[in-house]
Order: sequence, then C-alpha cells, then structure tokens
Amino acid sequence: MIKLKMFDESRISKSMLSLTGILFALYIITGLLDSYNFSIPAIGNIFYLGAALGLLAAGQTICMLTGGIDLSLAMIATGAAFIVSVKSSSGLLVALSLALLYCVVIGAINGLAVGLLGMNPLIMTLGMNAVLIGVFTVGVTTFLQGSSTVPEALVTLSTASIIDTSGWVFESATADPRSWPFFASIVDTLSWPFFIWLLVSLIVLFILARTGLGRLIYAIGDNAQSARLAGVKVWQVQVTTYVMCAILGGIGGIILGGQSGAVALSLANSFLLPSVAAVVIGGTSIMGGIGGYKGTMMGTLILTLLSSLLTTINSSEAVKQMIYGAIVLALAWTYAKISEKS
Amino acid sequence: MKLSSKRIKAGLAVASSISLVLGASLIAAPAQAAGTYKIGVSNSWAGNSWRETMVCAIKAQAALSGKVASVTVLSRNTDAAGQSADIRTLKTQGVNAIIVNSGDPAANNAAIAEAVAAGIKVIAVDNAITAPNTTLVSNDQVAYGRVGAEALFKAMGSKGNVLYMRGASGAGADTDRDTGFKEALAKYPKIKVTKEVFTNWDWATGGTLASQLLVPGKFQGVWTSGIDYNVVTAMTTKLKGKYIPVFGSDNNEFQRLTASLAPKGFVGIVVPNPAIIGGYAAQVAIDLLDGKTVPAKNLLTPKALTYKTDKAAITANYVPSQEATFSATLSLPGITTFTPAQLFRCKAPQDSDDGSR
Repeated sequence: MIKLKMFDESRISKSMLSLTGILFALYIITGLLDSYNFSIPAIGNIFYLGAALGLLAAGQTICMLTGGIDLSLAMIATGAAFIVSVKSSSGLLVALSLALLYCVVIGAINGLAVGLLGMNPLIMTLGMNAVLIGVFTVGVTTFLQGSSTVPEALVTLSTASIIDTSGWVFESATADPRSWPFFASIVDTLSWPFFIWLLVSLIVLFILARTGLGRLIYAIGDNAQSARLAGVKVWQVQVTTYVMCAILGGIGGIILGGQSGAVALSLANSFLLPSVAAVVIGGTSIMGGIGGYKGTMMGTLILTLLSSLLTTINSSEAVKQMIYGAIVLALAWTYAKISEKS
Repeated sequence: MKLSSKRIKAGLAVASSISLVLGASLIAAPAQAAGTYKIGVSNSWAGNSWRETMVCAIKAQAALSGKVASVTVLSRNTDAAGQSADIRTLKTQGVNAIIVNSGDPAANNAAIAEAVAAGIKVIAVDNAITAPNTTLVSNDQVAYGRVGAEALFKAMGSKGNVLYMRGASGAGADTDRDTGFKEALAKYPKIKVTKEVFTNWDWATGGTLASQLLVPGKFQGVWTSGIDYNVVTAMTTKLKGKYIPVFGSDNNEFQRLTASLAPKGFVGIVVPNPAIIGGYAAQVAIDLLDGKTVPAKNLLTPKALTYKTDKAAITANYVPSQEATFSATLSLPGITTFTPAQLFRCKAPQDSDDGSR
C-alpha cells in the first residue's frame, strides 16, 4: 500500500474549531431572538431536521472528495422514497429492495460514465437528473402508479422518538414544551432519524479514515493520474463512490419522505444545493482530495440552524434571502481566510 | 479536476442528445383525426403533478369533443424567453388556438400579441396574463383565500392564533389569495396571524417550516397555500397528535388524511383548486373556434369542504391509484365531460386510437 498524505491535520482541526464557533454563535443569536430555541425540544428539532440533509451531504462529501459531484442526488433521493411508497403494497422488504436496486443502478451508471467514459461528473449527473425527472413523470401514470403514502413503519423510523414517551409524560400536550420535565424532554428529543444519521455517519467516517477504499477516495481526488500510475483502478473506485453516494441519498430521501408522510416528485429538490453547500462550508475542497465528513456534519448543522434562524425572524422574504446569502458568503470567506493562514 | 477538452465535448454531446430526446418526446407529433381544430399548449413548469393533470385534462376534453384534430403540448421548465419561443413555435406550426399557463403575467405579451394578430385564439389558464384580446380561464384565487380562511376561522371557534403559510412571494395567485385571506380576517377580530411564512409551494420547505414552527399551544389553526398534508403529518410528532385545524387544497393525500384522522379530532378544510381546469380551458378554446361568444374572464368559484358536512365528497375524491400531490377533483359538473379513466389515460385526439372515444 502506498503511503498517502491525506490532509494537513492542523488545518482541519483549526477549521473544525471555527465551524464550532460559528455554530455556537448562530445558536446564541437564534435563542436570543426567541427563547424557545434554547429549549431541549428545539435543539432536538435541529438534529431531527438535519438528519436527511446530513445523509444527502454524506453522499455528496464522498463524491466531492474524489473531485466529482452528484447533481442527480436529489432525484435519486426522491426516487428511492417514491419507489418505497408506491411499491409498499407488495411488502416493505420488497419495496426497500427495489429502492436499493434503483440507487445501485443509477449510482453505477453515474460512476461508470465518470470513471470509464471519462465524462465530466457535473454534466453527467445533471443529465442524469433530467432523465430521472422525465422517467418519474412518466412513471407516475404508468409503471409507478399508485398511492405515494409512506408506509407506517418508515414514518415511525423517520419521525418518532426512540423511546415512546407519548403515554407517560405529556398528558397536557397543549402546554408549552419549556414546562415539560427535563428528563422527559431529553428522552423525547432522541429521535430515530437522528439515531440513523449518527449510525450512518460513524460508518462513513470509518470508511473514509480507516479503510483502503477511504484512502483511495482521497488519493484519486488528490491526483487521479498519479493514483492510476500507482496501479489504482480509478474507475472501480469511482463506481463504488457513486453507488455509495446514491445509497446514502436514498436513505436520506426515505427519511425525508417519512417526515412528509407522503412523497411528492419534488420531495428532495430543495435539498440539492444545501447538500453541496454543507460539504463546502465543512471545508471539503470541490477539487477533491481535501476535507472529510466531520466538517460536513458541522456544515449540515450550521445550515439547519440558519434555516431555523430565518424562520424565527419576522421579516419579508427578500430580507431573509439577503441574510441567507450574506451568511453563506461570510462562511465561505471565513473558511478561505483560515485556509490561507495555515 | 483535470479534464481534456475531448472529454468535456463528449459529455456535452451526450447531455445535449439527452435533452434533445427529452424535448422531442414532449412534442406530440400531429396526425390526422376526426376534428379540424389544432390546439397548442404552452406550459412553463414540467414535472409538476398539478400541471401534468392540467395538460391531461386539456387532451381528454379535446379528444372527447370530436372537433379537435390535434393537441400539441410544449411543456418544459423555462423562463419567459423560453416560453415566448414556445408560443412562437406553436404559431409557426399553424395551430388555431393556444392555451398558455404563463410563468409571468406580462413577459410573454409580445409573442402572444403576434399569435393574436395571426388570428389565433389565446386562452390563459390558471395564471392570468395582461395581454389584450385574450381569454382567461382560472380558479378564483381571491375567493380561494377567503373561503378557506372563513371555514378555518369557524373551525377555530372564531378565536386564536393562525400560522399563515403562503405560497411564493410576488406570484399572482399568492397575492390574490392573500387579498381574500385579509378580507376574511377583517371579519374575525379575535383571530390573530402570529406567524407568516412562505413555502414557495415546495413540499420540503413547507414540511421543514411546519416542523420548526408547530409547538404545542402556539397556534390554534394553520392556513396553507396548497402545501398541506405534510403539515398535518408534522403534527403527529410535533404536537403529539393533538391536531389543530388545517386549511388545504384538494391534494390526494390531504383528503385521505382529512378522512382518516377525523376520528382523532383532526379538522381538515378542503378547498379545491382543480387542475382539471385545463378541461375548461380546452372547452373555451373550442367554443371560441366555433365562433361562440365567451366572456373574457371565466372564473371557477371554490367551495370549502369539511369532513363533518361533506363526508361523501371527500371520501369519493380520494383516488388510491394516484400519488399524494394529485389534484383530486375528477370532474367539473356542467363543464368537463371526461371520465376519470379518460383523464388518467391522458391521450390527445391524434393518439386516441385505443377506442377511448
């Protein structure tokens, strides 16, 4: 195995520190605007809402570490959720298998086109996105016709608390959650989507940091040419990368579908750009080779908190858009400054 | 990311051929059929369930009339420049009438004026346009906002805080619905709008907002501009199932929830915004081509349905074979003549060789 210098440790820890600072500052501001945001249920909600974005961004991170990108990720996520819902009449296991198959096939096509045919990932996945929109638009009236209500079990896995608290703590559920008992609030806040996100995150972090595949992902993102000359079958790594990305997107899509209760064909569309933004804010280079999923997780939480902040503010949409843009630009600038110094 | 220009070219070639194939598949090839009229459709938003149903309703109504030879649909996600180009393409193809769902009230006026000057009847459906000598067929959006708000405020017992979830800021339908909403609000002094947000008619955005804002005790009712069912779903977790009244549209899933959650105390107020208004537009186009006099504005006035008073209608509206966002209103009595099966088949006159007529 070739020794590869994966990343500059000091820079990563420095940027993680500043990301934590930004996250904390945003949290304080959000809380000062509405004290409800300091409550435990509100904090739990950030993780509840961050789960789907975090999973999509996990896929995007892996792609971007190889120097690629997956712009078909939103339609992969939506498609997986749609297939699971429509096909659930033939059994949950069948439906989930079909969705997995869908993710693997689309991911493999993306990966093969990028890896073997040498297509630009940006254009390939953008084209794939257009094709998938077309396929599903036709599919709704033909081979995917049926109710897109998400099966009960998956709704529970995407929304419910791990420990069912409904019976024993909240008799007066109309009361302000800030008055709920502390312990009960904590238990209630530990939701399944958060748990699933955490579990998948650990796997992704392990793969990237501790396996040969992880090292190869960094290697080809750093310099595909020299990796190839060193004997790495670059296309195989890329196919694996895009398949993994699609599966992560699919899991995120199903959670998003479960939180909606039913699947619309535009389900994950508005998550595509945030999934890229979370990765970039987290410090992964769009040129590949530098970064990691820890930063993306912070980026996800920052974006989710930012969305909560904008919801809290009572101002016109135009002002909210300006604030959002300004903060994202400020984040990018801060990151560039930090990278420059080190 | 080092890429040779050859690879970029290859990528571009594949991408452009994909878009060509997609584009071509959306243009139905006109062929000979029983009627003589040629109808063109320009739709600025493809892949949206409501718009797809609208287009199918145009096709179904045209096919049933026996007077239409072909329906040519130019449907894609485009801006005003693209839609104006589509309108000019339809004019070049020699259509007799153009039904346009315009992405902008005024930006296509030049292209529309050219079509009108060439003797083509132009019918604006769903979204109003400012171009002169055109006919509007639309749901009355002011009434939609008002009727829904009144029914919601009644369900809330005429008092309490409302979460006001609007559509897209600046869109015609959103402004109209807001006018209606404010009219109703003025009549209920004890109702307060304590939070106003925009969903941009995006399901994920609406769902996120609902999850962030629905806190026990904070609101007594929710007014949504069509992004409805996932707001109800969010209440199951965020309000521990203590549902508060929601005003929504005729989305398939929302009607299902209105019926299925009624025993748990959920009050859903359904005000249809039927996508099959496309069928109405097709009928108006045919009437105009027949030389009949049609008013310049044709508005459908909506009615609020609740499970308590309209149990049968809401139960009947839910179509299990259709997806969640399907606009589940299957006929406009006295206007549309197609059956649900004919609507779902979505065949234009030129491709109806399957015995549907």
